[in-house]
Amino acid sequence: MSPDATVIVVAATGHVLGMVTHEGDPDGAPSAAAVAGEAFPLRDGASGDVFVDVPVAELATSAVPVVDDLLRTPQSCAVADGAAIFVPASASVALDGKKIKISGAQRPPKDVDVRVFVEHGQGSDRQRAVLKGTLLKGAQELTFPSELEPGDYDAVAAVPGNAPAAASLSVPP
Amino acid sequence: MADLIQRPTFFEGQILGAGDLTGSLEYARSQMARHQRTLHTWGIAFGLELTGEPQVVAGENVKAVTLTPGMALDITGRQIVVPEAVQLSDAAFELVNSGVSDDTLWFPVFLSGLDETSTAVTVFGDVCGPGAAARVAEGFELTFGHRGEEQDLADQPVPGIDAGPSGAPGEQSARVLVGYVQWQPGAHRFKDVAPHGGEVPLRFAGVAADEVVARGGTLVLRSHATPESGTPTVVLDGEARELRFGPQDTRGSVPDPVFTVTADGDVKAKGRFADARTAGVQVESGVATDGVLLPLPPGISEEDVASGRVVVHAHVTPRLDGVGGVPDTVICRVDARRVHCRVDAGGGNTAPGRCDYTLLAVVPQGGS
Repeated sequence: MSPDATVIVVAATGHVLGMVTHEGDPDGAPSAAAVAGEAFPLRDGASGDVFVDVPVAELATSAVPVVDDLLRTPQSCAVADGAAIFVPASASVALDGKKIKISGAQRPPKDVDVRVFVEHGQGSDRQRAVLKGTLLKGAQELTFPSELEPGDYDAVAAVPGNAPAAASLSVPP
Repeated sequence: MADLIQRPTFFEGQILGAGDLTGSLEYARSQMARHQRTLHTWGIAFGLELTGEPQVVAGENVKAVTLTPGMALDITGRQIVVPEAVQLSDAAFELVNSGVSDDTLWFPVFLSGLDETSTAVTVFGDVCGPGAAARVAEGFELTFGHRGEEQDLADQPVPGIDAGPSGAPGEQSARVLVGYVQWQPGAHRFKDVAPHGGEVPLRFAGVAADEVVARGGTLVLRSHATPESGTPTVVLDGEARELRFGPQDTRGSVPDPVFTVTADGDVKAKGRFADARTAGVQVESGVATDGVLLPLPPGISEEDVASGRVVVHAHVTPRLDGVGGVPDTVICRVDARRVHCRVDAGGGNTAPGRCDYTLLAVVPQGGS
């Protein structure tokens, strides 16, 4: 195996979604589109079905040394300073009325970008959105200002310093 | 049937006239022109560079443009020799291209051969009548074209096989492009000069040959007449029985070729293939986790796969590397190069798993 792996990360937060090594071109750095296609599928732990798709525009690739955590729990890793590190599952995502709220996050030492990938609907009518926010230095909570329409939503929050948090949310009429 | 070419010949006691001697010269001159236009391609053979000396005239930055000495072959096989540097005439440009207001446009500069009869000499005073010229100066003419006129060069008539070179007095001469100039209308001077400004690049004389043979056993192709370190060079080495390609050093040799093929067909190449779409199989392999789109081998693109020029086969197996214990794999498959690999996470849940993969990109014969 080559000493480095290509990790597919959320560009804004550094969260690892997947990793791949490639012996045929070990020095090459494939693009996010080459190893993710149009979107990277995050699957539901219970059903194994795709939970949300992270669009390629939100993705990036990076070459990092292979560590055991990358092989064992790739989606509990993040890239920082050119290396993959394990991040704890601390943050959660839930509803605050009709708004998406993140809570329980590790207190960041500085303001950090946060992404929430939200999907709604079924089949070809499925709607996808990316919420962008900033968790302020030392804060543990962040509520996004936009209100959701009534319905069922699947959401995955990527908060730096925390493993991705997934939840199915239901906004009442 | 056209007239055969006549070669002057002489006999003892013959009284030689001017026509006899001139015929001898014309025979040799026409023979050389036939050689030039059939065994060479026309264009600049040596020198003939347009250079600009910066000046300030009427508050404008302009250039005095000079043509360096050199030689060209025109399409008729005539040698056009410019023995010393000659400055281009601003006034001559304005005569052809009057009223130019856009100083960004490029105008072609042409060189053509022009025979000039020297001053007549008188033989025996005036006793035997007026004299005639005893020399013809093989001169040249520099002219300016309208914008885009350089494209007409390709349509110049090619003389018949038995014809001599162009440039005789009263005859339209063939032209050779030597560069381009820009015009500064405010100063009525040339603004700039360049070898590549218009639609047509400079044309350099070459060789028309179906066979090129080395005399010393090694044939070399260089991009520059004087060896410049790092410029690419091709060497066909008869002694080593191989062809080498690579950067040359200052002595003109290729000490570190990047591509070599021997007479036995063995190939050595450095670097990588940018386009691997040759018939055969390209392989990629490694480790991938759930959700990853397996990468294609170098040189194979998504378009190749989508168009069917390349057929992809992928195989995945759960990776049992012992990291974190042996995972209990729930599912491990690949759909359209997308890895679907989950391991048991307890409580009825699964988590992303890892697998070893092998991906074959098959290019069928004729598929590229």
